[in-house]
Amino acid sequence: MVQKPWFKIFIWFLATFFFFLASGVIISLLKPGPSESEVMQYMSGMMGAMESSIMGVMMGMESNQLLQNFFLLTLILFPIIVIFSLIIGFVLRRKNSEVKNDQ
Amino acid sequence: MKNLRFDFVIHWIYAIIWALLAISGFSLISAKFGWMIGFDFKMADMIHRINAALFVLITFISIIYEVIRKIKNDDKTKPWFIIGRSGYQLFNFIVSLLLIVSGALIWICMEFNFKALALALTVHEYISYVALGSVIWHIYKKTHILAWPKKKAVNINNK
Amino acid sequence: MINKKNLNYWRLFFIFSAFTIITLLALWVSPVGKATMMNKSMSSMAIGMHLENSTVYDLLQKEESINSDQNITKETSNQVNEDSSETKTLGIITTVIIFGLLPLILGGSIILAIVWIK
Repeated sequence: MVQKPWFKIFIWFLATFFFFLASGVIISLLKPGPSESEVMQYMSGMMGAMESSIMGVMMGMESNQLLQNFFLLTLILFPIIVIFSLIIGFVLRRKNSEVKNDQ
Repeated sequence: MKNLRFDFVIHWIYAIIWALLAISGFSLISAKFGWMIGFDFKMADMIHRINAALFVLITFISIIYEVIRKIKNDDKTKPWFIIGRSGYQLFNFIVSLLLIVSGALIWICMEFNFKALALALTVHEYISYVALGSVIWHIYKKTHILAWPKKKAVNINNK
Repeated sequence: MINKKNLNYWRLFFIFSAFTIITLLALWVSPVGKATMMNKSMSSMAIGMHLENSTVYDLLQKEESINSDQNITKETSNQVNEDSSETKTLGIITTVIIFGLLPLILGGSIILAIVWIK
């Protein structure tokens, strides 16, 4: 699988992409401060995202009762899950070490 | 395709999702970074949030897989797996958890608690720099996979 | 010094570092008019606005003052409700996935942490 040509091309693409990202980040960090047009584009783009994207939907969360109830549910479930996972973790640990001692 | 392994598939799906998350996320950081996605923040936001859900889903699947492996007392190392108990796997696990938790905080605190939002944004941003650096390092450690397989094929033919 | 095994890496590395340096030089040689505002990242801006001179304990307390910003966001959110329902469904689906799985992920990582530590 790893030796197939199309897969090699895919891996090369991903590696190049990550290198591009890294150099893009370095360029962005070190380049001279944002020009006015960049700032304007940034502001208007953010406003656009707030109006017509998921960001905007999340901004309107306060008016969504269903989602709020869902958050409440996860908040209530969270400590229960933590306690359960603590118990499961220690039980598993003990069980696995016993199996190892038997061998 | 028969011997396609689960950890292998997860690794590359994770890599694709990570790449999409990275380019959309980094372009959202500030006005200086916007050129990376052409200042189309609506698209960047959409990509980032949809892929965030996929990222959480894949992390969840791999955690469940790992727990099931532990229940079966299976101690074999999975070289391709994205989470593990040592080395880069552990690092990736911690970084993913931090990114998920801080991202969830950003997601929910957008309008309630601005102080938590500021803290979560900072953590999210700096962790993502560290994570990108670590990916470059990861590529360095695993460069051998980039080698084109021609030579090996020739060797097999000679034998 | 360069390992032959990592030749491909160094190829990529040098190509992209050259690309970075050339681009940076080109950008610095002809600087455009600087904008004094917004030259920080989103997080440092948020810190400047909301986190200056505050401690961790402030995070745990509920914010009491409702400033005018929130009224503005509420206005925009009303616009969203009239907007495309597809985006809204997507938003709700992604939110449910993330926040439904978040406690399970944290629980699972607690299990793994307990099992992994020697």
